[in-house]
Parts: sequence; structure tokens; C-alpha cells
Amino acid sequence: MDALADDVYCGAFRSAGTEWTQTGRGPFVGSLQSIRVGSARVFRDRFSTGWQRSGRLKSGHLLVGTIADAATRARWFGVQATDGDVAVASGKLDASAVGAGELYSVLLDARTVSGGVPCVAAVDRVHDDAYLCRNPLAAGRLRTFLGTLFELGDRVPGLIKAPALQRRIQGALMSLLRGSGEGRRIVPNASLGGRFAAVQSCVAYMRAHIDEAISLRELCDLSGLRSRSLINAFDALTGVSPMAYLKAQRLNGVRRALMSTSADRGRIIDIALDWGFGHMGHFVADYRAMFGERPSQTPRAAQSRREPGRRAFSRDERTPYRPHSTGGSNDPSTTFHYAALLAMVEAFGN
Amino acid sequence: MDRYSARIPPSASIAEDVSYDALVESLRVYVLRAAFAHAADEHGWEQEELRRHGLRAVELFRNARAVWGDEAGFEGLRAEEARQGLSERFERQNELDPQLFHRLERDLRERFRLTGYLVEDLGEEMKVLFEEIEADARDRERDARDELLAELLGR
Repeated sequence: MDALADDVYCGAFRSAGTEWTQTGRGPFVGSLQSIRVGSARVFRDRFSTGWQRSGRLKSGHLLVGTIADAATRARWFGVQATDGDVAVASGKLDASAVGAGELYSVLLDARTVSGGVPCVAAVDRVHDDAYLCRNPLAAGRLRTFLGTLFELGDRVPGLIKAPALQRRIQGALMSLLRGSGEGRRIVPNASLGGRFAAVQSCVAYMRAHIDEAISLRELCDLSGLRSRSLINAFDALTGVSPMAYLKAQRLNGVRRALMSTSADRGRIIDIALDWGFGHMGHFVADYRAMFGERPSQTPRAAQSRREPGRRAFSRDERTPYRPHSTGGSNDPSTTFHYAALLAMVEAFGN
Repeated sequence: MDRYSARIPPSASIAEDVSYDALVESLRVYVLRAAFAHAADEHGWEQEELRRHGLRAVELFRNARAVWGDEAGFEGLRAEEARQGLSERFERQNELDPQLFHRLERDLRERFRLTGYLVEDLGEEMKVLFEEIEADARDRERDARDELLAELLGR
């Protein structure tokens, strides 16, 4: 697997119009793999520490996802997801994770899917359509299907692109998505709806006053929540407290700025001051605790990833998963993989 | 004479442009207020930072220069600024003095000792000190309640 540094990883989300913030401490290592299946794209997303992601999907697009293992601690619009849940959203998107983990997701344009996708055809009109469907069997089937797809895709590049197989994979995928809509639905409830709006208003205020001294009391006045309720709401939606979230936003802002400057012109102090850090000693310590490197190292590392001829990614030594050697089309193992994939698609398609 | 400021980001100002003696006293007052607020579960983020991280949570400034306690971090940023020809500005805004933290911790601890709180260290965390102050606050609260009850019952 290729491991992505945080600038490359979060750049992928930003280019898709979603905000991505590292909220967990420690150097971030992630991977984001995708496979096109007809008009849908399936993703495998691995990460080494916590993050928060929010934004809006393109009109008509649907995102369906599940966590890859029970150890992954992820939240969907503030609701804790288990490995028996299938998460669905159209419109607004809000997800967070605490610690390392792995997710699978499918992004599809509902208008291009013939016959519709029942699992999202009648979603509740809450949060622009978002819910968790508690259906361990469906979640398990979806997870196994996507996991096998990526496993075989890693082993034999190009295998999944075969047109005949593509159609069958797409058919099986749609069948799985239809099945995933059956089960108990957990819709972020009215109480969470209020908390969601409160957190959103605080986040907007933080962004508008990012370099100013913001107090918890100000945020409470703004949101209309007591401090304990606001802290709980932030914890539910982002995995951290409001002020820790503010600090994370500021540190991420500095990091983005440092990554986009040249190593020779990365005026660290000016950038840190712009993001509201008044004491460089504390800023350097916080930055190092958050990202695992000194601010002065960031522009050079980012620049080395941008240099022509250099790979943007480096091998992730900390991830136990290792890709297998890839066989060519005449490799006997290719035939085996093709048969295995076909068998899997047939099994899930029924 | 040196002038000091102490803050806990993002919004707590403990002391601004005061003498060293006033700085220690301001810190003592802030710690006491933070402990009482914590006892009533009405504490702010900055007060909780102080409880959890002790004096490490406090940003210190002397004569408007940020005082650093971490030598490696200080030298690293100084070298980076020098590389970009910004040494003068860095020196104007920053200084390295790990001893200031030790002195401040020692003097603050001594002031608490004189008021009956004997704690080992306030540099890394203040949980033990907070617990003791909170316990005393609860005792006083209970005594006050008992006293008021006796008064209302006419005894």
C-alpha cells in the first residue's frame, strides 16, 4: 500500500469540496485507494490518527460506507458507528474518527443508477438525508465484498477493469446497496440536530475569528448551550473538545500554509502569528505534539514531495498490510484471481 | 526592572506587564479561582489546562519577549530564522530561560505552602493541589450549610 502524507491525503478531500482537519495527535499517515465500478467509485481509506471531515456532496450524489473493522472508532453526524452499521448520506457530510482505523465507502451518482437505489430512495429528510442503518449482515456483506475487491485489485492491477467483469461487479454492488437499506435506521435525532447546528455555528465563528482570542464562554453564548453541553456536542461530532478543536484548526491552518510555501521562504513566525499563536515556544511544542515534526521541517518535506521525478508517496512501514507482487495477464495466478473475483461477484449478486 | 505577562491561550490573561512578585501572586489567585471553579464544575478550558498541565500550560513573557523553556525547540527556530535573515526579529521577540520556570514553580509552591498546601510539584500538573483546595471548599460549604440550618431552626 502507498502511504500518503497528510498534505496529499487531505488534498484529495479538499479537491472534492470537503474540509479535512487532523484532530488526533502524532504524525499522520493515510492511504486513500479507489476503484471505479461503472458510474460508482469505491474507496478504501486508512489513517493513523483522528480527523474530522465536513462538507457537502455534489447534488444527486450518495455516499454509502461502513467501517472496516470493529477497532475503528468513527462517528457519522455525531452518531457512533459500529461494524454492524451502514452509513448513508446525500447532501451534507459530517464524519470523524478517533485514532487509527479503516473505512470503506461507495460514492455514486443516483441519477445514473437504473432502477434507483432503494437504500437511499426514501431517506429521512434530516441533515439533508443522512442515517446509519443497523444491519450487521448487510454491513458484513458490503465490507467483505469491498475488502475482497481491493485485495484482488492490489494483487492484479487491471483485473477489475475488464468490461464484462465490471458489469457484474456493478450489479453485485447495487444488489448489496439495496440490501443495506433494510434494518433499523438510526437517524441523528432532534437533540443531535440541535447540537449539530450548535457545533456548526461555533465552527463558522472560529473560522471567522481564527486569529483572535476565543473563549468557551463566547462559544456558549453563540450556540445557546451550557459549557458542558457544548463540550459534549463537540466531542460527539469531532472527537475533541471545542477549544482542542480550535487549536487543531489553527495548527492545521499553519501546516497547510507551511506546506504551500517554499522551504526558503517559509516564514514560520509570521504564519503562526496569522493563525493566532502568540508564543512561539508553545506553538513549536504544540505543533510537534500534533504532527510529529518541527514546523521548520514541514516546508522541506512538502517540497521534496512536489519535486519532479519524486514519488509523492512513501512506503508506510507502520502498516502491516503489504501488497503482493503483481502478475501479468499470463500469470497463472491472474486466472485464479479472476475466477475468485467472479465467484465472489456471483455470490454477492444473488 | 523586568516586567512579566502570563497567559493561557486562547483567552486567559493571568497577568499583564507586572513585576515578578505580582506575577507569582497573580498566578496564585488564578490557581485558587480555577480550583473553586473546578469544584463547582464551572471551570473554563484554560483553567482545566492549568490543572492538567501545571505551569507548562502558561505562556510567559518577559519585557514583551516570549520566554522559552525548551532549548532544542528554541535553537531550532532560531537557526531557521537566522537562515532567512530574521535573527534580529527573533531575538527581539524571544528568549531562552528554563530557569525562570523552575524559579516560578518553586516560588508559587512556597506561597501555597505558607497557606497550608504542601505539594511536590506544580510544573507538570496541579491535580493534587486542586484536589486539596476543592476538598477544603467542600468542607467549608458543608459547615456553612450546617450553620445556616442551625440558624434557621433557631438553635
